[in-house]
This record gives sequence, C-alpha cells and structure tokens, in this order.
Amino acid sequence: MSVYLELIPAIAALTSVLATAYSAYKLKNKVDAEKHFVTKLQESRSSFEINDLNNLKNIRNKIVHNVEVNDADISKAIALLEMYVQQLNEVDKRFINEAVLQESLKGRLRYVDKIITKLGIEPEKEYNKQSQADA
Amino acid sequence: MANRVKGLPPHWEEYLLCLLLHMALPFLPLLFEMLFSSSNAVSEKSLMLFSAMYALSIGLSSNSKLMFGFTIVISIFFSVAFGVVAGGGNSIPNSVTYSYFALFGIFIIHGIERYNRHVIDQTPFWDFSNGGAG
Repeated sequence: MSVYLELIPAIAALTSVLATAYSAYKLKNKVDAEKHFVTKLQESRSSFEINDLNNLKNIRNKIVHNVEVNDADISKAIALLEMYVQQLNEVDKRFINEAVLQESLKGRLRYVDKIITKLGIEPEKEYNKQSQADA
Repeated sequence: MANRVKGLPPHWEEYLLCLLLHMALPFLPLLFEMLFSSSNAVSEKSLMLFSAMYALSIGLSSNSKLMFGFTIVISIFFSVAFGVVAGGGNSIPNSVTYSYFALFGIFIIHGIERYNRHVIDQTPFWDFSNGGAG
C-alpha cells in the first residue's frame, strides 16, 4: 500500500518536470520568433514608406523625451508591424501577436518601442527642445 | 556633478515584482511555520496542502491551457496526498522531498511564463488602467 501512496506525490513531481520541459521549449520558440520578426523587419526596412518610418521615429522620440504618445500613433505603428507579422510562419505569428496585440495599451507601446530600438531607429537629441519651442 | 544612479528597466522591475509578490509571497505561511514550530520544520500536512493550493492558484493565473492542465493535475495529486496524511494520519514516504521538488518545478515554469509575458512581451505586471495586476 505504501508503494502506491508514495506514487502520488512522485507523479505530481514528474508532472512538474514535464511542464518545465514544455516551458523551456516555449521560451526558446518565443525568443526565436522575435529574432525572425526583427530580421524580417530589418530586411524590409528599405521598403518602409517615409510616413511609416517618420511615425516610428516620432514614437521613439516621444518615449525618450517623456512626451505622451497618442493612441493613433501606436495604432499606425502596430498596423505597420502587423503587415510584417503576417509574413511569418504560423508559430512565430502566434508568439509575436501575443505581444503586438496584447490588451494593455502600455504593454503594446513598450513592445513597439522595443522593436523600434532593435531596428536601430535613433531618437533625435534636439526633439524635446524643438517641441517645447513649438508649444 | 554626481550622476543619477540608473535603476532597472521598467519591464525587469515588473518581472521581479511579479516573482516577489505573486510567486514568492505565498510561501510566507510555510516560513512562519518553520520559524515558530518546535521542530523548526514544516509539517508534512501543511506542505501537502500548500503544494495543492499553490499549484492551483499559479495554474489559474497562467495564460497557457496546457500549463493550466499540468498544474491542475499536480494539485489533484497533492490534494489526495493531503487527504491521506491529514485524514488517515499516515505519512507518505518521501512526500516532503517530492513536494519541494514539485514546488520548485512550478516556480520555474511560471517564472518562465512570466518572463515571456513581462520581459519579452513587455506586458506590465501592475497596470491599474487595465484592471490591476496581470
């Protein structure tokens, strides 16, 4: 009887090992998906429309210089990113969409900023002074 | 002029806050039992009950259906173990070791899931504008 009893927590522990292995596999896929996405964007950067590129640069500037980014700018940036998400394979698409289409607006903005940074779009040093002068 | 000390990036702060508040804080009752019991150890009964409840509560906050399934299975097994230990008064051989092992596993799997969510996806942990902790 005690042998069977011992099996109860042992199976639970074994289940946690399986779950850990699955988690590690998922983490690897997630990191790979983001790499594929950034590579795809870098390869396509030359085909970005000037307005889209300016919008990304504008978002980066606003974040770096602590200016509030409006919803329309984020939506435009997400629409641009989504265009390239659609070119990924199904697994990558699912992982990237978890970030790009997340419920939190703050989270979406942070993720867009992370991707812009990975694309190497630099903020302008004079942006803040200029916007204050305009105001 | 002295430079400001740079803190961690916000997504790392939120990830660590999640590890601290959501994942480590529930262990507090076990810590206090260990501190105040005469044997300075957590009883088998408490550990089985805690393992069942911890697995269940962590599973409920998971975004993955499979992880939710895994933690429910873990919780059911420890619930049975708790019933045997508390109701039957029997001790299960090596149950404490298995229990710590499973708890460590649950901590790791959910830690990885939260890493995906807060560090890779940049989702805030505490976003009151979006209904509280995520």
